[in-house]
Amino acid sequence: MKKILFFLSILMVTISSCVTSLQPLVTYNSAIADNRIEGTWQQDGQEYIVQNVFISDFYKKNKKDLEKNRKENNGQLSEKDKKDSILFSRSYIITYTKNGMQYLLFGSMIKLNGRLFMNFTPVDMISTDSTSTITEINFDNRLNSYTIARVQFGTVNTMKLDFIDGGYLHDQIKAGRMKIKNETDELYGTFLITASTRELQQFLEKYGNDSRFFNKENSVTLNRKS
Amino acid sequence: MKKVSIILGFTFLIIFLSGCLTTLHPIFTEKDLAYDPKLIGTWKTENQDNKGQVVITNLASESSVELPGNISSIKQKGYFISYQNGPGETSKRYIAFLARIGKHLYFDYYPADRKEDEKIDEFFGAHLVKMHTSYRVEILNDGSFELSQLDESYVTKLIDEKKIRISHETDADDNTVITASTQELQQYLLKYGDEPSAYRSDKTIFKK
Repeated sequence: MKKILFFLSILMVTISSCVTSLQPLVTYNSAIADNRIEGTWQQDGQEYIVQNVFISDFYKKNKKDLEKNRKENNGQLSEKDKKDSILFSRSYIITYTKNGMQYLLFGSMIKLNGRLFMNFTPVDMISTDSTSTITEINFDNRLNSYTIARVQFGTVNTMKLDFIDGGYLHDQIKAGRMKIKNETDELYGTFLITASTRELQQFLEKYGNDSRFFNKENSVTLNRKS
Repeated sequence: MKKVSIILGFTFLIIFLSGCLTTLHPIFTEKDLAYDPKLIGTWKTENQDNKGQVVITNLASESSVELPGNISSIKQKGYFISYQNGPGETSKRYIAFLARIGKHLYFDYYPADRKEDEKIDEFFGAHLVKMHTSYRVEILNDGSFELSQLDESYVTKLIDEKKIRISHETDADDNTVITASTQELQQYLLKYGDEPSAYRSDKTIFKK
């Protein structure tokens, strides 16, 4: 059994209240590839490597497993595998290392009303420092979800990611001023968007340029390193 | 145990689900709480797979535990539960509440973090939503007690066979995610609380 170990970490971005979605914003038939995102980016000394899935180090490392899956299926891809292959070809692996842990995210982009959006979901965590104090985390009771950011490429090798302000969205929903399917539990502070992929897309088509959703507290600007 | 990969056809982050039922919402409201101080202490645990030690303390006495949402308001009636694999080695920690639903007692477990714990990167961790797991609690005459964990496959089978209406979503990997409200979960427990198949077969016995 593969065990995943957690280490101390600090913030990737200053996200005051990250909202997550159960469903992806982007699927195989809506994902778009944009090679401007590929390369090494940095922010406050932290590096982020963005690679197309199929040329990513992670994919190369795990290619054997994929071939094994195909072999078990008489060399054929299932319909779902075919869709995933399309999605992978248009998606990216984002890799960064902090405090002895390498983090990998899967990112896919979509264009809605002329604006680019990206959704992120965890792919893997790999311990890179055996001397750190290790806390083994049990994933039995964790649910994988997605975050969403608006993507804006600057003119001089910069990329701005504006994440949805979860606090604002939660307040709007609670006040009845906005509707999007969600689950909220006040006792434990749980807030999860459960809208379908299409509903998420419609929501961003409507509010994708609303500065109240995308404020500077939830934004990060990355500078291209290479 | 079954493996669930985030991206299909290719094993990315592997999450090992134990077949236990996880829910987005807790099974209790404040009025259902049935705090029992007799559960406080150090317990030896045993189930079909392994033996271990569990330390149960009152949640309010644990100032280092990060309390989510509004849990602080009921922390006097809560527990902090640490599972230990070996001396000085802690494997899992939970915030737990004992609740009476119908004629049975249940524990609601929620993953706990301590302020001094080394933590996963905040952005990465934000994608991993904490879920509740629940156990029926049977307190025995000798003071020991047994936990029977709710079985995920029983609920999903009922859903698949359209024998139950309980709020749920199907995620991108075709996993069933139970999003039922506390009220719905309690209705489920009232209806199936006595059904042996609704629980995993491997009970955990807690002995002082």
